[in-house]
Amino acid sequence: MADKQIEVVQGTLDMLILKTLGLGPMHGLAISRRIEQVTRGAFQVKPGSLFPALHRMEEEGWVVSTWGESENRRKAKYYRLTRGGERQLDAKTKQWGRITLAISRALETD
Amino acid sequence: MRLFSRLRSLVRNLFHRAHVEKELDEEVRSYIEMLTDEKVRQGARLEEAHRAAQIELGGIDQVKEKVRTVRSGAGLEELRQDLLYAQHSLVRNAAFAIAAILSLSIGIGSSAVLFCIVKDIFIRPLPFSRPERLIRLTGFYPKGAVAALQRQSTTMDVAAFSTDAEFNLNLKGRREHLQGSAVSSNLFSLLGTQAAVGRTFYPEEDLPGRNHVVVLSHTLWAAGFGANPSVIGTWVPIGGQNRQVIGVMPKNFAFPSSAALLWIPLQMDLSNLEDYWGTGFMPVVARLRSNVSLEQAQEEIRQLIAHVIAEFPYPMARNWNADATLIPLRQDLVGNLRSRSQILLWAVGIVMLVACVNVTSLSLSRASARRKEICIRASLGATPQRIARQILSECLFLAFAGGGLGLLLVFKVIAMLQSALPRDTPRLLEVGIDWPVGLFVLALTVLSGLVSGVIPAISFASLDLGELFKTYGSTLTWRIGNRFRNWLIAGEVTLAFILVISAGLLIRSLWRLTLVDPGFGSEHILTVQVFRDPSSCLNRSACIADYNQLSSPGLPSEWLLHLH
Repeated sequence: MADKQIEVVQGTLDMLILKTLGLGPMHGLAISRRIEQVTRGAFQVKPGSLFPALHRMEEEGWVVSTWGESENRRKAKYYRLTRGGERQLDAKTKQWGRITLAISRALETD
Repeated sequence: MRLFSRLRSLVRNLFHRAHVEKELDEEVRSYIEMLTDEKVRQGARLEEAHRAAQIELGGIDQVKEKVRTVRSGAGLEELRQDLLYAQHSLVRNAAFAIAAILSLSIGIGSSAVLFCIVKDIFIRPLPFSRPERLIRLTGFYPKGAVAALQRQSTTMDVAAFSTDAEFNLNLKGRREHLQGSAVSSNLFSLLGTQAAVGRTFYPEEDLPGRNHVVVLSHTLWAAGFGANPSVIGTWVPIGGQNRQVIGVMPKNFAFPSSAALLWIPLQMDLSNLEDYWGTGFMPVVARLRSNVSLEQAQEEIRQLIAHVIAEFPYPMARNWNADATLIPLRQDLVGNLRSRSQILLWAVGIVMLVACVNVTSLSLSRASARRKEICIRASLGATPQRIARQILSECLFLAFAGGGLGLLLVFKVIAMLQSALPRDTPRLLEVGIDWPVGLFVLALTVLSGLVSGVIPAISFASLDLGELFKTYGSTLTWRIGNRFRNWLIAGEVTLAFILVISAGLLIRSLWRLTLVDPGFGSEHILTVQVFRDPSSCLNRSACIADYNQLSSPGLPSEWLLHLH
């Protein structure tokens, strides 16, 4: 299991977070768990990279945060995707598609 | 939209820092709590769950520090912290700080003074219209030759000026002795400068009977006539002759130098052969006519001089001024200052370098003392870059203090130079402090801060943290630092030696000059300079008798003082 965990590829963390927030407002731990879950544990998002990314994207205007209450009645900060964030996710997804396509083509060629 | 959002964040981060920090703290803590809950649900005991959550987080302070570095204005905030920290650490080490600031201020100050001088004397164009067309003809010429050149030259306009005209003048009841210049009537129009008040000379005002006019410098007008415009048209006794004031030149007009306080026209008296052809040889300035190159004018001038030689009423040597050359006026005015200021430039450069090296070696020698502090900062999550920047900003802080002090020094030194240097130093009064000087000081300040800080910063940042902790408490060995520091110290001592020795030699030669035996007893001997109006010496024998009386023994001392 441990050797299958990979560091999140540089620049893709933003995309993963934005995609996750597309499901609805979420707090930091939930985002982290959700990414782990959908990637079947391949990606572990550590707080040391999660929080800086969230705060940076908030400053960019891609997400907004509000204080709310968690499922366990704890005070938690919830992040929500904005219109700008949706556009960013869209752009990033398209870019990612082009990159993976190009790389897999390159690797398939003998 | 995005820009606006970032700007809003920047303002929030800079001005509502406490609130931003509090939110961050709460957010991270709530994360730990939720993580703990999760682990408790999975069956862990509360304390264990809490501990595991903290380990998984990886240190509250480290996470917070990472968030801080991505915020807008993080650079500014860190700079503020660095400078504040630099200030604290320097106040604690006042002796170090004072030594560094003083040595930087001397370096920056002396460089800026030289910058002022180079900029205003060598680089700034002469304050005349189209100064690049103005040239100086080498050699000295009598009035007759000047008139001949004016008549015959097709490539340039020519004017002459005397450099040794001196006048006695009654100013507010006091008799003053002033320097001025007798000039061709076309000099002002040739230079392209108009009078600030009144007018300059008309072309015919250098003819006998018409030349009883005078143009005042702004300095003389202000000091002797209260800057009163109604002085135009009044008659003033100058050098024993009544002259009508016709104009005042602008403040920055100084020709041939700022020592000239008034200008009278040359007297072009054809009937006085001795005066016209035989005495008072003068320098000549000229302006190239349009579409004429310096080479064309140069080609013409030697032929012209051959013609002029034939016009002399007495046999003139055939090779008189055969090497006459045209040189740009600026080069002529400041030419001999150039080599001297080049020497100064080197000296000042060395002083500046010594100052930087001083600060560098002082910073490095503080290294051992700061090791604990660096260890603590590193273990609290400061990256090597951050530590390097801290050291660098300390040096910048020193540099800014030194630069400020240096600027004050510049004001003092420029004022001192202007009063101490001879007044006929070319373009002396044009030297001043303006915004390019300010920019220069700023650039030099930043540069010296970077130069003196970069080596200590690199040696700190390149330290291996594990190594650092292993030797915690013992004397630190600098792998790169030590070797480099030895070089620095050796270099600095060498430079200091060179400066001290050359300064010492200079003083010694001055001192020896004062000790040279002149070959006669100089005790009880006064030298007196006598300035008489030319008109008071028209009667030759009476004039000689006056001077003879001066040299008679037993002359009462107060009589001498009157003359002086």
